[in-house]
Amino acid sequence: MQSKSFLLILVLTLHAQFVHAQWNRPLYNQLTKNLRSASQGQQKIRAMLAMGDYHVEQSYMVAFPQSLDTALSLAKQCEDLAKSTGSAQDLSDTYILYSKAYNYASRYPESINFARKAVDLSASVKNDTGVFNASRTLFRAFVYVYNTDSTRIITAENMSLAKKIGTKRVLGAAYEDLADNTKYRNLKNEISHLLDSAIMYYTATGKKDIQHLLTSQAWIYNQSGEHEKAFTTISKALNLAEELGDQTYYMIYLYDGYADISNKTERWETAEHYYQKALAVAAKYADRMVESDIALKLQRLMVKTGKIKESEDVIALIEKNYSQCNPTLLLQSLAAVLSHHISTGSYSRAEKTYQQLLPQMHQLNGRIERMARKDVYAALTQYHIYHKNVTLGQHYLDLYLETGEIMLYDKPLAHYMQFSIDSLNGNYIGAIRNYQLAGRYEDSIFNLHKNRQLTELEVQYDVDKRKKDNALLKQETELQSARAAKANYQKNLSLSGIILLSMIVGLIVRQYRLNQKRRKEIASKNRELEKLLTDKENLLQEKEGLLEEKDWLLKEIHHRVKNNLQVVMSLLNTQSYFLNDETAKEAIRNSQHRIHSMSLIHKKLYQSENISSVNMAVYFEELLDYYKIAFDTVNRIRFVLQAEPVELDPSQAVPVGLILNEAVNNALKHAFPDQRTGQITVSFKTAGQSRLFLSIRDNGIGMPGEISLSGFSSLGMKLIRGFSGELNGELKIHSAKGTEVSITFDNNNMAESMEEHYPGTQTITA
Amino acid sequence: MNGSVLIVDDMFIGAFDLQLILENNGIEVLGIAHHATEAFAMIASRRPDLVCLDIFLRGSETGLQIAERLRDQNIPFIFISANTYDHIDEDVKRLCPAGYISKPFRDQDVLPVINAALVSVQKSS
Repeated sequence: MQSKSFLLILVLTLHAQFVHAQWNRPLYNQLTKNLRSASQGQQKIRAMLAMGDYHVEQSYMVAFPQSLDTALSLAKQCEDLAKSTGSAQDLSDTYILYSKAYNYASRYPESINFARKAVDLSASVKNDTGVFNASRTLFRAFVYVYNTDSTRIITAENMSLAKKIGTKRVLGAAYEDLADNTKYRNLKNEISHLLDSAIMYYTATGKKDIQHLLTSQAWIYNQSGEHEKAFTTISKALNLAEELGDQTYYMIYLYDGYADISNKTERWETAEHYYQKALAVAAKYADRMVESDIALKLQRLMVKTGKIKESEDVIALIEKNYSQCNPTLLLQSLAAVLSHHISTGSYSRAEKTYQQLLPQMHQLNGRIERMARKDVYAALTQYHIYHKNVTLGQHYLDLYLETGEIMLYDKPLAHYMQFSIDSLNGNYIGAIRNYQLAGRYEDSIFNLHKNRQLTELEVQYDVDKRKKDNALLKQETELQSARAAKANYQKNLSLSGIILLSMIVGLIVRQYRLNQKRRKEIASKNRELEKLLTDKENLLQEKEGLLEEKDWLLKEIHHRVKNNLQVVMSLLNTQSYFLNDETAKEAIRNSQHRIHSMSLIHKKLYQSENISSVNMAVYFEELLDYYKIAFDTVNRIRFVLQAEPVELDPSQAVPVGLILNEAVNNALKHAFPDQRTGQITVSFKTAGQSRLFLSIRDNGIGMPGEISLSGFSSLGMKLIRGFSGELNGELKIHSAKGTEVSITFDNNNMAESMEEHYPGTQTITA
Repeated sequence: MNGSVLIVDDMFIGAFDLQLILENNGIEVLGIAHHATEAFAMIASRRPDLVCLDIFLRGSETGLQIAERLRDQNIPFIFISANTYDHIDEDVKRLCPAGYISKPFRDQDVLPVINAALVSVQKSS
């Protein structure tokens, strides 16, 4: 039985390597997309072929029973297209698809036919790789029809071809096929070597899905008694399968193989677990025969580990699959079920099973397969002991013991059965001995079992723990990485935050500094401005002070000038006392009058608010008052003043004053002789814009004859004329009823300095 | 020694004083001009041998400007100024006056300067 299932595995493994693509939705979507986007010609064919391959592989899926039809339909389309384009390669690949599809449909003649056509076509265009691939397909077709000669030749030829092509993948494939073929011939060492080569080449190409090759390898080791090595290898296969998420049909064999090796190496819990897994996959793909085979192995394991009562489901599964089994398998199944029912006391069901088993045995004419014998003889022994048929019981027991496959675990059963027979025979000594032996074996097995279980549990625990640890570690790592990422993120965030903050702070600080700087600048400027303002105010105050001082100084000067002029008058007055000549006294008096008229101007200037101009009305009034006293004419001459309050510049006021002085003097001297009374009228008024009119008129005797201006020979008249000229004035003198001297001149009342106007002061002060 | 002199001064009494001094010493005074326009009108009617010119004059033209015009017409002139140190002024020196009299003046201050100027005028002519 073992070699049979091994063969089955071998053959099926080929498909795993051949198709090596796995059913999955993403792949299907990709293929559909490729097919849709493919334009006409070769691209279209390639896409359809890929889709065909996909469907061929899916044909093993229960959920895709129509896959092979689809694949064949695709192949037909490809064939038409390839023929129209005339591409030998495309046509060859199309034939390969046909071959695969027919192979999977168990239509081997068609499969072989198409594979041959593919080989011939590729050979005709001398495409080595094409020939190689087509030959592999042909090999697979021959495998299923057990044509060992053909498979040997094909694999050998393909190996030569592969060496010629020289790529690692092709070499790997060649070794794989050769190993498969050699497996078929059951040459364990050679197979192992070939598998090693195949695995080596595949590994070198980076091909990862070699789990089923490893499974085959593990089987070889198991068969060679290298159980631990087998376990290591199949563990590797299992890891790979889990890593790749392999859910194909071939997983049955991987799980089954893993369970078998675990069973062999007394990892019973593990074995039971993986048998269950293998059963699940087998159920998925509805392979009832394989299911029964695995179920039987599970059943035996459970009997061995004392789980007879728990194996009810397994027995039910076996019973359900009777019709799907081959004769040997059916025999094994019936034996297992019979044993089970007797052991559990289900005698009616046991009887029924016995009735099914008997015709099968007769049909085989006693030529029961070796693997089935042990189960069948044990079951029959148990059945006959139950029926107290000592002779038949002893007969089958002897046959059972003769199978030569009685292991330690079978010993308790063997001794119990002998005990039962001895008891029935009355051979109590033998019975007791066998009972004791059975008990001892049971104990030892139990102990062994317990120890194994313990160890296994420990190992399992360790593994689980390691797994858990790994998971934990992974989780922790993930957590850490997550934490790290988070931390990193936070760090980055914080960093960016800090940077941003620093930038903002920098900006703020900069702004602040700028503001401060500006504020400082503004403050300093403000201070400067304030200083300037203060300076200005100070300067203005100073200026005002200076102006006041200037005014004061000017007033002081005028005061001094007036005083000095008074001193001059006093000097002249003093001089006159020392003179006896009346003419001389007269001249001095005249000079005194003139000086006084000037002195009055300076008095007016320092007394009034305005130091730059003289109010002529006031000036005239004071001057006339002086004349009244000086000439002692109060009683006979009346002075009439008609003056507008015109302000005159001192430079004009002096000549005007002197003119008035000369004119009044003239009038007093000449107009009123002989103590006559009369009136002198002084008029001063504006005459048109900025013109001034001064007139000194008397109602005296007037001048004799016609008056000519140039005719004046007296100093008085010369002075009048001279000062009038200085004033740029228009002088008129006429005599009708008395004499009138009048002058019209421009008002020069402008701001001009005293020095320029009146250098005479210097003369006086010098 | 005879010669004709024009006095240009805007202050009558100073000019009148000078006029009296000169006339009492036999020097003819053509007149007293109070400003440039009057002065050049008088010169146009009769060219004087010498002009006595006050440096400070009111009006558009100062004594210095009149002096410049006089030099252009080759009329000698003497500066009269109330300022004692005007004669060392660069502008005054540049105009090369025939003499310089500072106010206040007496007969003996005026006459040598005027006479010397008139002599040199008569020599050059």
